[in-house]
Amino acid sequence: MSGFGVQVRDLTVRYGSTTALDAVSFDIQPGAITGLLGRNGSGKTTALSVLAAFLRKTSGTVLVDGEEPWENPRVMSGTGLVRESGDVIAERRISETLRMVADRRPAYDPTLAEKLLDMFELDPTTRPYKLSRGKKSAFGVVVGIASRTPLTLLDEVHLGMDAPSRYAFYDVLLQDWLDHPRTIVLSSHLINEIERLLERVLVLDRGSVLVQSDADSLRASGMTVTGASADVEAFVADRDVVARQRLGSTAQATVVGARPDDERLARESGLELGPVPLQDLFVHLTDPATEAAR
Amino acid sequence: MFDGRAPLYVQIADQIRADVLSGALEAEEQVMSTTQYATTFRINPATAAKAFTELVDEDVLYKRRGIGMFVAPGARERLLTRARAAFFAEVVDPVVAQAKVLGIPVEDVVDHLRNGGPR
Amino acid sequence: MSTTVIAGPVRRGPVVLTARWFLTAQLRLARWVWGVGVVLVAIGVAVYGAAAETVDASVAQYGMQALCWLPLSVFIGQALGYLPAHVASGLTRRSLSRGATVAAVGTALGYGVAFALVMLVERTVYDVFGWTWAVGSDGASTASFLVACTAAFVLSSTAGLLVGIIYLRHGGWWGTLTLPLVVGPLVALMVFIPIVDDEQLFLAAAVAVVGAVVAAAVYDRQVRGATVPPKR
Repeated sequence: MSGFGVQVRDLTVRYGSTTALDAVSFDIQPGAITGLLGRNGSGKTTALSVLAAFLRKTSGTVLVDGEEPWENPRVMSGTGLVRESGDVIAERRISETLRMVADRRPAYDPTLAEKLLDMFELDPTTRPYKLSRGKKSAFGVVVGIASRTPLTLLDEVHLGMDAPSRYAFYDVLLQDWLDHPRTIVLSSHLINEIERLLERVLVLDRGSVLVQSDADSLRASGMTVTGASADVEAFVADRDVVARQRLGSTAQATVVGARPDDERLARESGLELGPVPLQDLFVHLTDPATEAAR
Repeated sequence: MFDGRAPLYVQIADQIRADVLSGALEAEEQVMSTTQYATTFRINPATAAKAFTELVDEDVLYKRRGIGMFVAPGARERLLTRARAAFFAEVVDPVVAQAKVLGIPVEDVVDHLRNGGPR
Repeated sequence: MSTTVIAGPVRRGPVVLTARWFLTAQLRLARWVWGVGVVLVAIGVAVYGAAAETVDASVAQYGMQALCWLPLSVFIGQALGYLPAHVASGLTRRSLSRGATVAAVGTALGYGVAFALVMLVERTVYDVFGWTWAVGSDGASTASFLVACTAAFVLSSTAGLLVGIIYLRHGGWWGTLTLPLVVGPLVALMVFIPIVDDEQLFLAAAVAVVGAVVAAAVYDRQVRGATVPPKR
C-alpha cells in the first residue's frame, strides 16, 4: 500500500453565508480508486480543494496521511489536485510546465509524461491557451497521472475530451495505478463510464455525505421490481423505494436494499427483479423528490 | 464483454460458474488473477476479488496463498446439483404458470416436451 | 492510515524553485526592456549631443521613471497569476511568499546594477566626446542617486506583489484602492530623486526600503491565507 489515506471528521466549509460542506465525515481508503459522485453544488470540489490545501477548512478535522494538509510541505508535495484543465500557466509552453512539475513532484515520471503527450497528441512546444478545451483537459490529465502523487485527485478532468480520449484516459489511469499503486479520487458526472474503475464510492449531496460504500455493494443494493401493481406494492411495502413507474396495470419500483430471499419471494409473487446501473441509482438517490419521500 | 446490466462482479461470477459447468474450467485449474481481470477487461481488480469471494463461499473456488485462485475439486458437481434443484423452481415453474395464464393444458406441454421440444 | 509514505523533501528547495520561476520570467522581460532602453538612451545621447550647445547631464538618468514602473506592473501580474500553479504543484504559500520576495529584491537589485552599468558606459562615451556627465541635482553624488533609485526599484517590485495579491484575494475594489497607497510614495520618489541632494537622497532611500519591508510583510500575510480561486 503506497497511497495516502484520508480521514475527515465533521468538516465544515463556509464561504460567507454559503455552507459548502456541513460537518461531513468520510474516509478515503489508501491505495484504492474512489469515485466521488455528486450533483453540481454538492460540495465535491470544495472537499477536494480542502484535501489539496487549495482552500482552508472552517472547522473540523482533515487528516491526509495522518496530518492536516494546510501549509504542510510533506502532505502538499504528495497531493495532486487536477481541476478540469489543471492549474497551469496558460502562457508557458507545455514542456516548460512539465519541467516545473518535474522539479516539484518527487515521484514524477518523465517517460510516462512523454508517452501520455503522444497518446493525447499534445505538442510539447505549444502553450495551453492556444489549445481546445479537450486538449487542455488532456494536458491536465498528463500532469495528474505523470506526477504519481500518493494522493491523486482528479476533478472533472474529462471535460471537453471526446469519447476515445476519455477511454484512453481511463485505460492509462487504471494501468498506471496497477503498476504504481496510489490513492486516486475520481470525480465525474459520467458515472456509467467510470463505474468499472471504482473500488469505493463516496456520494455527496448538498454539503453532506449521502453514501459511503464499496462500489460493487452499492451497485448490488439497488434493484427494480416489475410486475402487477398490487404485487409490486406488496413486495416493496417495507422497503426504501426511490422510484416508481406505472404503465397500465404493470408497475416498476426501484428499491435500495437487497435481501437474501428476494429472488425466491419475487418468483413466488410473479415479479421480476432487475439490476440498476449505478448512474440510475445515483440519480434516484440524489433526486430532491426522493429525499422528501424517504 | 461485460455489459452494463448486472453488477460486474455478478457477471464475472456467473461467467466462471458457467465455465466450470461447461467444463471449460476444470477442477484444480487456475483462474485469471484479479490483476489479469483488471488489465483484460479494464475493471478495478476489487470487483474480480468480490466475485472470487462469493465463489469461495460457494466452494467453487479456493485460494492457494501466494499463487492464486483455483477451481475447487467437486465444484462442477456442486454447481450441477444446485442448478438442477433450481431448474424446477426457476425454469419449469414459470413455464407452468405461463401455460396456465395462456390457458394451455399441462398435457399439451408434457406432450411437447416428450416429442423432443426444440432441436 | 497514519503511516507516512513520503519521507524525503522535494528535490531542490521550494524557495529556490519559486524564486527561479519568477526570475526566469523577469529575465525574459528584462532582455527586451534593457535592449530597447539601451537603444533609446543611445539615440537620446546622439540627439542631445547633436542638438544641444552644451552637454552637461546624463540622458540615461531619465530612464529611472520607466524603471520604477516596470517591476510594479510585472510583479502585479505575477502575484495574480502564479498562485494557483504554485499550490497546484504541491508547494506551500510560505515558500511562495519567500521565493517571490527574494525574486522581487533580486530583480530590483539587478535593475540597479544594470542601471549603474548603463551609466558607466554613458559616462565613458561622454568622456570620449569631452562632455560633462552628471546625474541628479547639483548636491547629489552618483552613488547616492543610484542607491536611491535601486531602493525605489525594490519598493516598486515588492509593492507590485502586494497589489497583485490584494487583487487576487479581495477583488477589483480593494486592489484599486491599494494602488494609490502604493503608487503615491513611488511617484513621490520618482519626482524627488532627480532633484534633491545627497542627504535627502539618503532619506528617500531609507523611506523606500521601509516601504518595501512593509509591503513585503503585508504581502506575506496575505499570501499565507490565500485561497486558490475556483476554476469557473
